[in-house]
This record gives sequence, C-alpha cells and structure tokens, in this order.
Amino acid sequence: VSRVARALVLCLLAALPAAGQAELESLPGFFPAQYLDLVEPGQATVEINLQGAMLRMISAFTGDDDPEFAELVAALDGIRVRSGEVTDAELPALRQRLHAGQAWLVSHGWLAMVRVREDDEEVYVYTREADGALVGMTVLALEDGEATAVNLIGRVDPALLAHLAQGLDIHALEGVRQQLTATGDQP
Amino acid sequence: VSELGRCAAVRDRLDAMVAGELSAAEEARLATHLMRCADCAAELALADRVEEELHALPVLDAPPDLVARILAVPGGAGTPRAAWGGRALRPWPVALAALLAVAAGVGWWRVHVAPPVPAASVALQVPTQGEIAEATAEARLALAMVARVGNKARREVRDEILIERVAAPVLEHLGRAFAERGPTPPSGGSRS
Repeated sequence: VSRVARALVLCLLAALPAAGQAELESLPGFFPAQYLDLVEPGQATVEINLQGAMLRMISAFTGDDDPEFAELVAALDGIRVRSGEVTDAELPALRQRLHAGQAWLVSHGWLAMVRVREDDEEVYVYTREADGALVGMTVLALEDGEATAVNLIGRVDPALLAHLAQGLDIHALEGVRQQLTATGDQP
Repeated sequence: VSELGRCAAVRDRLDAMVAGELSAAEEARLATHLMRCADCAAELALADRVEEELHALPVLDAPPDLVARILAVPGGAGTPRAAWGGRALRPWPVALAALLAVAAGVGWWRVHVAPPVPAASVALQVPTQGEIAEATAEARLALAMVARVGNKARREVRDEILIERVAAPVLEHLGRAFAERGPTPPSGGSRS
C-alpha cells in the first residue's frame, strides 16, 4: 500500500464516528470503571484503554499479517485492562472490590463462564449475551500477588479467541508491560 | 503615462467603482481600460467578489456594552470622518475592518452563545504508525491476559472433570466392590 493510500485510509478511519466513552458505557458489554479498578489507580502497572477508531486502525494494519487477530479486534468496541501487584495487606480490601464487581455483573445479566477459587487464587470469567451472541467478556483474576481485570466490549467470538490464545504468549508480551511501566503510561 | 502608471491609477479607483461612487465619465474611462487589461479586470472581479462576500455575511448586533463604550467616546458617534482625521474612508480598509469586526462578533457569539462543538468534530487526529503499533501491542497483551486466565481455568476445569468423572467414580466402584466382597480375611490367616 502506498504512503498516500495509507494516509488516506488513516484519515477515513479516523473520520468514522468513533465510540466515545459515553457511548461505550451504554453498551451491554461495558463493565464500570469503579469495579474494573481492582487495584488503586496509582498502583496499576498496566492500564489499557482502546476503543473506536484506534481498534479499527489496529484491525486494518494487522489484517494482512494476522487476519484472525484483526477479525477479533474489528468486532470489538473497546478493550480495557487494569492490572497491578497487590500486597498481602491489601488482599482483604481487594477481595471486597472483586466480589462487589461480581455482584454487579450478576445483577446486570452477566453469566459466569469460569469460576476458580483455590487457596489464595480467584479467577472469574463472565460473559454477557445479547441476541444470541457474546457482546462482552470480563475477566477478574487474583493470583500470584497480582490483580487483573480485563473488559472486552463488543462481539467476542469464543472460538476465535481460544484459537488465538494458542498463539498469544503472555511472556513474549511482557515487554509491552515493562515498556508501558517505563514510559509512565499508567496513571 | 506609461501602461504601468495607468494600471496603478485604475486600480486606485476600483474600490470606488465597485462602490458606485464614480462619475459616468470616469467609469467609462476605466471600463475602456479594463476591456484591454486582463490584470486590472481580474482585480475588479476580485473586488466585486469581496464586496459580495461582505454583503453575504450575517448581520450581528454589537454587544450592548461595546455600543455604550463607543457612544461614550467624544465625537465617536455620528462623526466617522472626524474620528479618522477628516479623511475620506476608503472602501478596502473599511471592508477589512468590517470583516475583522464580523469575525470578532462571530467569535464572541461562539464563545458566549453557541453550544460547545464536540472536540472530535473540531480536530481530526490521526495517530502515527508508532502509536498504532503500540496500541496493537496493547491489544495483544490484553487478549493474552484473557487467554492466560482461560488456559488456567481450562486446566482447573480439566482437573475437576478428571476428579469428578474419572477418579471419583473409580474410587466409588472400588469401594463398592470391596464392600460386596465382605470383610477381608485377616492377613496371615490359615489356608485350607
């Protein structure tokens, strides 16, 4: 693709009406920020907020090399992640927040797909359905001294996600986390 | 008079011509020149267009306090020529001043009256390729986090299923089998 054509595509994608924060909050797959922030905002080591035009650009730019990833991202309206380390002293308060989040999810029609409670570890995966399709996924995890909350807003294809999961190496992507921390991209 | 000097003299009078301030004889002389000189004709066309654009601008009421301040200046109201030192006002500077005034008025109206315009529609921000690459890495990290939890959960579920469907039934079956066989004879008992 020529530079001019690429620039044109960028402009067109950016000009498309992007889902704003308010618009995102109205979607059924949205998980409120007060529950997503398991760790205190200042302590998060990873904070990711991707939505609207940026997701479409990611999809457009990865379509040739990774069509499945591009397809999954294209169907999403938002990707939000909060993750951070927690000390033993913080665990009780954090568990309270986690359980409050679970209560909100259940009261808003989300279904628990996975529930794991073992020793000090708790892992939950909730999904939200609408019109026979998954329109949201929320992961709440407390394990190995780390709390993680992920909220995928939009259509999620579980089969595609499971297939992609095989190729996504969390350890290889740790560099991104370190880079984010180093550049102070977190609050 | 050279051609350049004639053009300069004609262009000096174009504003007055557009404003309809020339005598019939002077207008006829200028028209003759404009028929021969394309550059001056273009200048006249431009002056006409500016005049039209100025007339097309919306009529705005000056803010009341601005009117009050102007009226408060001695000789300011009703005596425009005196305010400019008695010089006749040339149309172009007046037009420019009017344009600035209208622009200031529109600006004032936008700030004080107009509803706020959403930022997204004001500025079209196109991210750089580097920003898109960074966002792509973030999206992969997010999905990897979901995948990690999913894999862990799958392992847990698999272990649960193994216990529930395989280990537990086998143990139960063995327990039943032992129970049906009755009490086990004490080890080292007599053999018949």
